[in-house]
Amino acid sequence: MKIEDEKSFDTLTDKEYKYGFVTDIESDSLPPGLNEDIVRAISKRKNEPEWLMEFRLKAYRHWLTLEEPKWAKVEFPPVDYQALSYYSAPKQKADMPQSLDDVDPELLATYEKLGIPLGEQEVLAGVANVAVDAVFDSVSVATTFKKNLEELGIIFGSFSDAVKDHPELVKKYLGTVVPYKDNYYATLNSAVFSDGSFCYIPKGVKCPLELSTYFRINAANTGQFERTLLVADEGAQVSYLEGCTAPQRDENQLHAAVVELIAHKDAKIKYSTVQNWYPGDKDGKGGIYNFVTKRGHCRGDNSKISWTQVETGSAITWKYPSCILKGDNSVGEFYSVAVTNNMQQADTGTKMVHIGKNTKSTIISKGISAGKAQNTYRGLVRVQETAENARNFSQCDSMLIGDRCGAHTFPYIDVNNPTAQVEHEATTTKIGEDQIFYCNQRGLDTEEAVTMIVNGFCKEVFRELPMEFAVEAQKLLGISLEGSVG
Amino acid sequence: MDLKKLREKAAADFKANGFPTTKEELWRFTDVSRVATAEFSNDWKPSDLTFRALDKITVVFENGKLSREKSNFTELPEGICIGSILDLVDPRIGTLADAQSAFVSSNTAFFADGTFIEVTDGAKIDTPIHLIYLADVDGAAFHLRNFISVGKDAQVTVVEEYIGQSGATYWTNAVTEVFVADQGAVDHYKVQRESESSFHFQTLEAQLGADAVFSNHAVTFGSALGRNDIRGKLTGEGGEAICNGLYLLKDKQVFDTHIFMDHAVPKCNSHELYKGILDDKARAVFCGRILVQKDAQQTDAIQSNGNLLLSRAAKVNTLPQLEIYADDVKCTHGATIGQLDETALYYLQTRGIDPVQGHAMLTFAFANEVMDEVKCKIAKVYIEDLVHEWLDQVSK
Repeated sequence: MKIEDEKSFDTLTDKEYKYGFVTDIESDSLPPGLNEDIVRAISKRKNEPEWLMEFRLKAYRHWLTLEEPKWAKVEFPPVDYQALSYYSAPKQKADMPQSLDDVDPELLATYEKLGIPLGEQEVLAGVANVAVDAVFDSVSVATTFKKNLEELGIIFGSFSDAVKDHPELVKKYLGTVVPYKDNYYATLNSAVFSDGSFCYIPKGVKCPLELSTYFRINAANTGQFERTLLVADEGAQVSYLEGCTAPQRDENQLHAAVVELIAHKDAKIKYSTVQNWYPGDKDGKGGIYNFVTKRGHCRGDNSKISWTQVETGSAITWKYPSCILKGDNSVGEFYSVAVTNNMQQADTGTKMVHIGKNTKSTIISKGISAGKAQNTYRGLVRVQETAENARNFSQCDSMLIGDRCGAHTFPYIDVNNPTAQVEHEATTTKIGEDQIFYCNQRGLDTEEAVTMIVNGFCKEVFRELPMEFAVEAQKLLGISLEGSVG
Repeated sequence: MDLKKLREKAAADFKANGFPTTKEELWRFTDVSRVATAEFSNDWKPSDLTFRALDKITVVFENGKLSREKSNFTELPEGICIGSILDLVDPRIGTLADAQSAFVSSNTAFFADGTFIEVTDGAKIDTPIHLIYLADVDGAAFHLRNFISVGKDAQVTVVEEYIGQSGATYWTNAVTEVFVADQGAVDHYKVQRESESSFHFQTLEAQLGADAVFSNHAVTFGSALGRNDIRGKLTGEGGEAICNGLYLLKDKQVFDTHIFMDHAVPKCNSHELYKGILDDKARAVFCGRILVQKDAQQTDAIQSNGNLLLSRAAKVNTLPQLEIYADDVKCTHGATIGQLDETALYYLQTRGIDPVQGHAMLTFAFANEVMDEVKCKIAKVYIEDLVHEWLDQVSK
């Protein structure tokens, strides 16, 4: 039996990126370029208080002193930061939409197309029990279920609203997990971030809904720089979902987001991402550069932060969702599936920094590489002197489909306390011809068989996703691998 | 290139690049500024140190210079040639060692002596060749260059041993290049017992032909600051490289092991098993990188690094890395860091073995796994003795 089958390869790689359409909507953008005036203009346009503008300017000035990091195993032509527009918003009739009726129907239709029902009634009628904050280019366009959440004291909405309505909370937490000096892209984000989501779960509240942000890049030549800040106060619990898509364009677009999570004593945060930015075509033309800084801080004892990510999109992914385990007995988890096909490149992983006593972390990473893609796991596990009885388990499995791709594993393990137990395992495999043969024999075609085997390979991660997302993730995996088995 | 030109070029490279800093990825965890800023002399004297010859053939270097009186390699079995690298020149010298490395370029520019071993096609040498490097001049630098070439279907066992005078501060900078022709086999051991205040750096590079076998066991006890750079290049189908090692560190020792296994062709195997025991404020760095190139299908590469921390202040940085560009491969790596298993200790206690003794038994067992694969019996007994000696010192 031969897996190689040129015909099916061609027909399948030609399959279009499903979310590649462009919404024809008037947008209000700042001219391309980056300087202090632009930073001020963004801040002004958003009617921000003085301290936030100062934060942006400090970040911008620091950014000028930095150089782009070069250590990741990805290659791309230099980004011209002066050619990008740092602010784009759908033009609005009045200042801000008061209700969904004020939102441009074109926009709502876009989200409809993406399968995100924004009309609350529809949501109520449907099965989804999810509150959504939708971000279109640079601004948050709508938040559903706001009222229901408010009754519980949960603050959930756009970052801009939070700055207006709860400045004290934003000021208290902004930049405390990812400081503005953190790294090149995070610093850039701190200077020019446009919008994003803010969420605060008060003491002892268990958020009854899955909270969700949906990001969409629409306008051409813009960068998207959103900022998510999520705080779970003592004993609070929340599950948060994030999804992303972008239109199909020939040029590369930059996405440099920052996500900060803070878990106080006994709090639990679960953050799930399904990233499906436009990956570029099969020759590597176009696609999103996804340079994201995500970090969670287990500030209080017994807190827990869990990251689950399914990365199928983007031309380049550079992303290391991390946990700082400061509180005693705190737990950090990282479950990841990264799929790269055609010319995609991914350098992704996590950092687990153990500071508190009896802290635990688990890392499960599954990398799947097909076509001519390069897929790298890069992770750090650090056990500080103070972290008595810290425990880490890491497992990084790679799967190669075809002989033109690469799969790499670069873990860094620093242990400074003898009571620590750290284990790391990595394996590399391919789909066995015998496995395919068995499936063929049972009436499954090769394509289905591959999807099934890959889904099995990723099972440990999909299990961690909320149900609706798990279904979507499995479908996505099938789509992104289409054509990989020729 | 003749040796003179090679040395000139290396000296120019070294001058241009200088020593690496911790800003470079390969040297992130090992700061060599202590070596870079120190002044070393060319003083020489005969050595007062003693050694234990493992077998009949010994090649002894006193403070970087070959001592024909102390050595014993005049009567050799057929098929092997041993001598000073200064007398026997091979055009392959300098073609394998990484010229980018400051330690290699300074060695190439300045090496004053070293061992040359050549085994002709088909010769199987049973007696291990024991190379002994004695160092007891304070403030000196020893640039040693070794060259080992094994012909087709030939075999040899080489034990490199570095012995230093306790308390002496000096810098050993050794480079060993090993060429193993098709079906050839080299069983190589390195026992590093340098002074606790010395600097020891060695680059060991081996190139393997088809169905060739290279095995290396590196056991490290000494040096204040040291590093082994081990690079295996598999260039013929069916080659097999084994790189095992043990580092036993205490006080403020810092020891770094960097292994790079380059699978350039299909059907090769490489195995790496490294274990470390760290006491006091010692720090170990382990970086093992396996590269499977595009055409190297059916590669079987295994790597594992285990560390046992005996004290609160001991530290480990471990980086097991896989870089894979072929799909039909079997590659795994693993790393562990921890303490002795409490339940195993408890079990021994229930059998009447007191905790101190039980601790010693389990610690030895942890280290001994590396010794399991040692083929040369004489070397095995010798290394086991040294490990026991070290563990006795630590438990006191």
